Amino acid sequence: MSALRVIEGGRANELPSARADRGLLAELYERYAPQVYGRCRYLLKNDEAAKDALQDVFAKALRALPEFREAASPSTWLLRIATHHCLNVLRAQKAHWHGELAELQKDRRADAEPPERRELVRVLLGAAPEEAQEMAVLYFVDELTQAEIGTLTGRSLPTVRKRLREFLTAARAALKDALPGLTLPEGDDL
Amino acid sequence: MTTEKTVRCSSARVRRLLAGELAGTERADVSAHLLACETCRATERELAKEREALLRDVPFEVFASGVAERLAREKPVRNRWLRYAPLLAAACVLIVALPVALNRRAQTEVESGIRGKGGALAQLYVKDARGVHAWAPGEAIAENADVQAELKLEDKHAAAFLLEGGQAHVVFSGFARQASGKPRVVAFGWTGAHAARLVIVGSDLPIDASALQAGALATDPERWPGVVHAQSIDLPRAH
Repeated sequence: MSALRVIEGGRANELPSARADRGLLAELYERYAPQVYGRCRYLLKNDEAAKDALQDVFAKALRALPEFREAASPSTWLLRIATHHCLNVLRAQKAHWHGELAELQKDRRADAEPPERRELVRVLLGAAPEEAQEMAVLYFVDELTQAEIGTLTGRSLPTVRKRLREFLTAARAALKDALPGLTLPEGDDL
Repeated sequence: MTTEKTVRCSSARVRRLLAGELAGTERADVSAHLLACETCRATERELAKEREALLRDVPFEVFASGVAERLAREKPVRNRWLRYAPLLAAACVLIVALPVALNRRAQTEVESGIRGKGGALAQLYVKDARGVHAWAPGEAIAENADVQAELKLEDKHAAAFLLEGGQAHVVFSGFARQASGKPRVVAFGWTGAHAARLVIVGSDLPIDASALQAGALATDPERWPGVVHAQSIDLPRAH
């Protein structure tokens, strides 16, 4: 006597679409997750949010796997996704960079040391327009050349320069009162 | 701080080196630069700290389940299924390319054991001891395996029947999509040595599954009353 077994709920989560290939994930984790997690922690300054962002970034990467595999530099490609994702999270949270700048100023008075450059860039990102934020991370944090940024983002060299100048202008204006005496590169230096 | 003429300090370059993305001269140059440049060695130390933080905060199991959960949450779009092809190897294959019936009453027989009117109405997977894989038309199914059918109907209502051993069973009857808008997934298994036939039907009106079940063995699903789309899929039994 045969019988039908209907499985309640359909176990949809077991479909391959919901499963990432474990071997591939293990490789991605080993090779790239540390730096992606580092980037998320750097930008979000919150370990819990960074954990979420890390997993979001890799889910995005798996959805765009052919693009990832074709990337000249998978690590740079992943970090760019991570940066973009975290900047979006910060925008959605309407992060208060003014407050962070004030904290930076307070710490500086205590230490009599200039803030670390990457930290300063991070705090000032919120002052800059959207595209300039990403370009600033690529330039000041990843230390890519303007030509490399152009290739990565598909923007022309003049556009990359223009965005970086926008960032510096916004950053300088924000620093004027908060941290007088701190200098940033002149726009002409770019 | 640049120590080599051809290499400037770049945290991205150090990351690429450590991720094994550099080769040839570039790799040699960056490696030499790294040995001599304190700034880049600081970047290397920072990467080691990032690794420690990851292992401490997000062990691989947590990471893997978190990513899988996010992928499962994604609203399926056909193009996205196709983008998974490299990841899933031979998975994510549509059941079969059925000629679109220009005439709703037209019937198409295919060698794979799938016939019906309308396009492919479901995507089938088999879950067995090896895991989950896309079912290939004609593939025999072991008795202890589960079959999962992700419904692809455009109709509002759907029903699925399993015909085997001279019996007709209702596997599912209801809305073709979940309340969330995601596709409905029905899963089942059957005991016994008989091959089975899965029949999926769709309609814009609610389907009386009991009424259809009563006459299921007597007529072709394409002729069932009220059915707009129908598909029969033969499921051979592995011996």
